[in-house]
Amino acid sequence: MAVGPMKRSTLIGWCLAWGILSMPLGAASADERARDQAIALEDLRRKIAGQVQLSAYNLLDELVYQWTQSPPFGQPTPVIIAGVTAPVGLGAGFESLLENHLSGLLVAHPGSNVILSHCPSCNAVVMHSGPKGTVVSRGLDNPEALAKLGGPGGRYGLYLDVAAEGAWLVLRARITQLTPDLPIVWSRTLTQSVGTPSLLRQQTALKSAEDARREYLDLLNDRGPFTVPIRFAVRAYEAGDSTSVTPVPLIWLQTGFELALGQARAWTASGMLGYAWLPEAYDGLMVQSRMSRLISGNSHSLTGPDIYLFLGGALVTVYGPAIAPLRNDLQTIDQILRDPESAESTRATFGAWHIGLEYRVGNRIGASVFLENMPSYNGSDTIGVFFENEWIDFHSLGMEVTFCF
Amino acid sequence: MGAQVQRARETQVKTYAQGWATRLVGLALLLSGGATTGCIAVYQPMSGLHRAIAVDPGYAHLADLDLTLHCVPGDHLDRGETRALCRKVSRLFENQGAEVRMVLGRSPLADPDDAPESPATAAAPEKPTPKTALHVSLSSRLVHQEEISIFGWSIVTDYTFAQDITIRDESGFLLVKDTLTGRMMMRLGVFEDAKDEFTRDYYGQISQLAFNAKIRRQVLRESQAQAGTN
Amino acid sequence: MEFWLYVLLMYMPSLIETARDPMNGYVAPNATLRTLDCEPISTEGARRIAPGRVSDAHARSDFLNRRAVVCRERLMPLGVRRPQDDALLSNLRGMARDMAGAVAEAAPKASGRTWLVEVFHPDAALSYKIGFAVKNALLERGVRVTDRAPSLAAGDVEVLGVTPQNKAYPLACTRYAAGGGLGPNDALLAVVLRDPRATIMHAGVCVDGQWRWVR
Repeated sequence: MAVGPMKRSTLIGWCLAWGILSMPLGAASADERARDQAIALEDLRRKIAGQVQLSAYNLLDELVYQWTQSPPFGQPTPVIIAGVTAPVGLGAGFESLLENHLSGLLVAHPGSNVILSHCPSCNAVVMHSGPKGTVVSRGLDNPEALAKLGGPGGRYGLYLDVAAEGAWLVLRARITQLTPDLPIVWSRTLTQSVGTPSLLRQQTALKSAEDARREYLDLLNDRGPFTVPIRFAVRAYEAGDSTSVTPVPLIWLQTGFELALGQARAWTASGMLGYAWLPEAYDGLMVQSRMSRLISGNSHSLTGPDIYLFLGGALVTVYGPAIAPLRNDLQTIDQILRDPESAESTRATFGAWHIGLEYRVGNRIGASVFLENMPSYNGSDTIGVFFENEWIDFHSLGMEVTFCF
Repeated sequence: MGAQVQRARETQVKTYAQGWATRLVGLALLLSGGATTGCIAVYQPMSGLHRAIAVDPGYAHLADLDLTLHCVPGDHLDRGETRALCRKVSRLFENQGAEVRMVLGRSPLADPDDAPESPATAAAPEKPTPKTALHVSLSSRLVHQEEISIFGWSIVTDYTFAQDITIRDESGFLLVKDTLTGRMMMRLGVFEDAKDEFTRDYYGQISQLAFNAKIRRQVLRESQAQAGTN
Repeated sequence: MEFWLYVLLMYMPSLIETARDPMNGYVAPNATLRTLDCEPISTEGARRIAPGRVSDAHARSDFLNRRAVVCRERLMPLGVRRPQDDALLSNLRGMARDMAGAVAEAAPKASGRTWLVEVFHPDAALSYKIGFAVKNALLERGVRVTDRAPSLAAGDVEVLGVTPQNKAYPLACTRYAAGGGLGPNDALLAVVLRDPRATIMHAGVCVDGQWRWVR
């Protein structure tokens, strides 16, 4: 049939037309993709520079500190910053930051015997013609030309290079004497792993790494074993089998004391007083005590979150019209009608014990979740069970946010 | 009162039925989860496998190489698995232009008593071969294995393996030596791209090592020639 | 509800163990997994590196298996730099020490000479870093090093530009010695990238006009 070949050619024609028409579109989208990738790469580089900056400062602090302890020169000596290079992939802005930080350190520590000196012709491009030929170079690389320009004959140039080598940040430094032979008179290589926290030494009073770390730890542990927590808690309940009315959740504001039973804060004990209030609904008071055990390690973390498992008990009394579902007995209509004030004076007093997990950060803020059992409500028709099993019924599910001071 | 009791009974029955439905669904999920547990492989390159490479394994970089591939069975891979690995690596090198011979077992040149200390002391080949001959030795070992089982049913298998690669020239001189370490975890999971990722990493690294060995062999040959003329 | 709690209890030990594990099979593989360099180490080594992180075994056996893996995150994720640059820079310290060691082996009287270092790599920034690292490594070995660069006449440079690699370096060495670029007490360590597809560099030494590959 003649329809087949014609259909095929039409199809091919359409495909060609579509291909030709979509080519500029495809090229445009490829350009857009390349542009997006370049932007994403630039963002990533900026993020890395921010992360690496403190570590690089740390290394510079260590370098200048070592100079104060063991100066490279016997007496104060003028030195030119001949070159500062950043890790490949990071821009010139990073080099400026390093140079500024180094300058600040050297100015603040004259005991290093390294005195910054200014030399405009050193970094300028100079051309020197002689019997051997014409040499075009930086002034620093051609001391003979530099000497003729009245440059710093016999002074020293400091070169710094920061390199990212895998998980290590490496600072290399060398000092070269600016004479025709350009001998290297001093060099040092310092490394730091990416996981090492920055020591945050003060620029004006450098300390050794051990002293800085000890100071940092003392500051973190300075708060002592005793803290005052302020806690917002919500306890939710289930409706019992014989009622469809879910008890209102109780919102508590608690405060008290928390005591760490050791420097490691592996065990803590707390005693809290709580007050619950919802307008036109209920008021309540609570006394609670709790023991917590650190399960995310042997000692609390100075920089990371900790997880505690806790067990505690509470004595609770709540009263108000909204507390009726929390009573352990169901009143009939006749009883309610006989005593119209009973709704206002409804009170529930019970003891409870709870078990839960707390996620705490920096011993400042924590969030926890727990299950609570109220023994007097075992088998109750009014209060349901959150987690039913053969051993223990948990009547309440609670969540808390804690701030420690 | 009667209506209350009736409602309570209905609630009880409904709750009871709901409870059983949940349990049945849960049991079905547990069994199906059990049937599928361990079928997801998750891969973590530990050291060496995710190093940056400069060669593209899709191009013929090894066109002038004559490779003898020695694959050594070990505790991690038995003979059959080693042979399969050998075939795949052999095909990889062939696709890159090399001529490859496979040998199951240790390379005789790997014996330190036989291998020369430096290329200069090696006996020079009687006639120059048009292609560079290299011996590639692959051996795998199990660094760590852990299994979490419940009632005899393994739900998590976690193992760390290391592949030792050595490349020597025809005289036995060591050109390249490296160890690629990776970790595989077989467990219940949702996402899996372990095989593709591991293949890409492994093939890339082994191609780069072979190319580096080829360049090193070239340089050392020049050095020998230079020493000869001097 | 109870069923899910039973399931959770069953998987709890495994879940707790994966809390610090950089890899788990429950969520999509983390992109940062490929930025980690991990190495299994002994528990004694782990206790030395991170005291308090690995608990001591009880004298009467506590039925716990302990193993330690050290993971370090790369500073520069893959893709930020060119792959070849990344491969060279990731092990720059090791490479520099290797080159400095090669000099000590090849020229036993190395400490009596003043060494110049030249790096032959297409990228100027990378050449500078590699040169810096090699100079520092040589200085750590007590070798005298200078920042001076050996010079060649313009004609020599032109000829060397068209000479094959295998002949260019020995020829350049001869010209350095003849032209005065390298003095009688000088020696040159050249660090060369022979092929842009390689991730290793080679070292050659030029002493008294004689060229020799040492790495």
